[in-house]
Amino acid sequence: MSTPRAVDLVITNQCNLRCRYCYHFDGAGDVAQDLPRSEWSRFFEQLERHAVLEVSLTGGEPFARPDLPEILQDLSRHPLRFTLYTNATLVGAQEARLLAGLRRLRAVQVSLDAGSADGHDACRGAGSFERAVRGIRAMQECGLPLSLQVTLHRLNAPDLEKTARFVLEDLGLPSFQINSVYDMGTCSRYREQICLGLEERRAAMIALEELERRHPGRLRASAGPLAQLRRWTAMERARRTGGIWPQGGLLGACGGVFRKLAVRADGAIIPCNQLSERVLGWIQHDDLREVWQQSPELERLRRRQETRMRDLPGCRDCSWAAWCTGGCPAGGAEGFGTEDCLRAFLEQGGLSIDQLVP
Amino acid sequence: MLLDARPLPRAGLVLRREHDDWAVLFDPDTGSGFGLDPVGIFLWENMDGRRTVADLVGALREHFVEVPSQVADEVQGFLQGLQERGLILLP
Repeated sequence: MSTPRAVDLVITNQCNLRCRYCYHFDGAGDVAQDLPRSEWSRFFEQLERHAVLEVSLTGGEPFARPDLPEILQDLSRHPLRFTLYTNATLVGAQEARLLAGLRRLRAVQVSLDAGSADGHDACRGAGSFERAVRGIRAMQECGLPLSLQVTLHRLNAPDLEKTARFVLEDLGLPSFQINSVYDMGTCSRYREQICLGLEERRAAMIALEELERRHPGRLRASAGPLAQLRRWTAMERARRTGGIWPQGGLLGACGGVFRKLAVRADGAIIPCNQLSERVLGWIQHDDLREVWQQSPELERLRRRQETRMRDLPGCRDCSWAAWCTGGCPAGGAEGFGTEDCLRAFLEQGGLSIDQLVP
Repeated sequence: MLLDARPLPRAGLVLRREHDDWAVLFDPDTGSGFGLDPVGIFLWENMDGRRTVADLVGALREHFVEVPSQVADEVQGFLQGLQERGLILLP
């Protein structure tokens, strides 16, 4: 792939909320100043020149940026589709109408962590649930394509059933995505209070499995307890039957570096928003294609998938080493012992193997 | 599609080259994509609303080696498919 197919843009470092589990603030992506609109506009031309097809706009909170409407208009002039990530608390009828007028808007992804103020506001601040729901309703009235993200933490995990009922029935959304807090940035300061411990992860998996049974096809996950449960169940089934997985047994868990890049609010090009300290170049003076093709750091991340899991310390004698693909590169350790490690989860008493696959 | 038709790529589409010499023709207004092999890419890049289908077949014969005898039929079928998807116009 000569250029990235997708690029995630942290369009602003400003945010009207200070969520206790935020991975962005207090991390390397928490930069002093936003790029001006003119710099973003120039970069959008690069995106078109390099045939980038998909862009996501995140923050911070995109609507905290006063010139967001103009930036969206600039972006819409280029032949690509984009997704906007928002907490929805700054979205009213006017903002919803603005979004509805953008024909290349693929989706608006809203963060909503619970079906009531208790679970949602616990990490996001008082009043944020009510404002978010008002924003969601405003966007629904405009017929916008909404996608909803629930981030599990210690304070909202017990309310999963209520959350699902609110999202799927009260809001009437077709599905929602679920992940869990990531121990980075601000979140690390509140680790003890909000990160899921072993017991909470176990309970969340059991609850999510039950929800999946009741709402087939309506829960999505690319990280967190549900994604782990699905992956581990498939790994154990493959182990029992001797099945073969594409890329199984190689440290290739993150395929992101083969298809996308990210840009910080100050213009630094980074592999992804979880690796915001690894600066590959700057959109103000570097060419995206050259960074994509020539960055030694990107090459190093891509070459992870040449590493056999069996060659990693801690994974050598693992029963699942032929099917495991390791953990997120931002997680620090490559394989054994991380949150993505099935063996560690079992050994610590998270679930028994028979609970995983009866 | 007739051999004297003069197909024209629809404006606003993105041709994105992927690995293995393939490309995707992407419609940013709908998000739909259409895969093109190297022959499809050649035809796409040579359509301009002035060249006829017969011209395109001739250019293809010159550019590629071992072109099969039924190439004109295959090109017509391919262009027909693009037209049905609204990816080309016949001015």
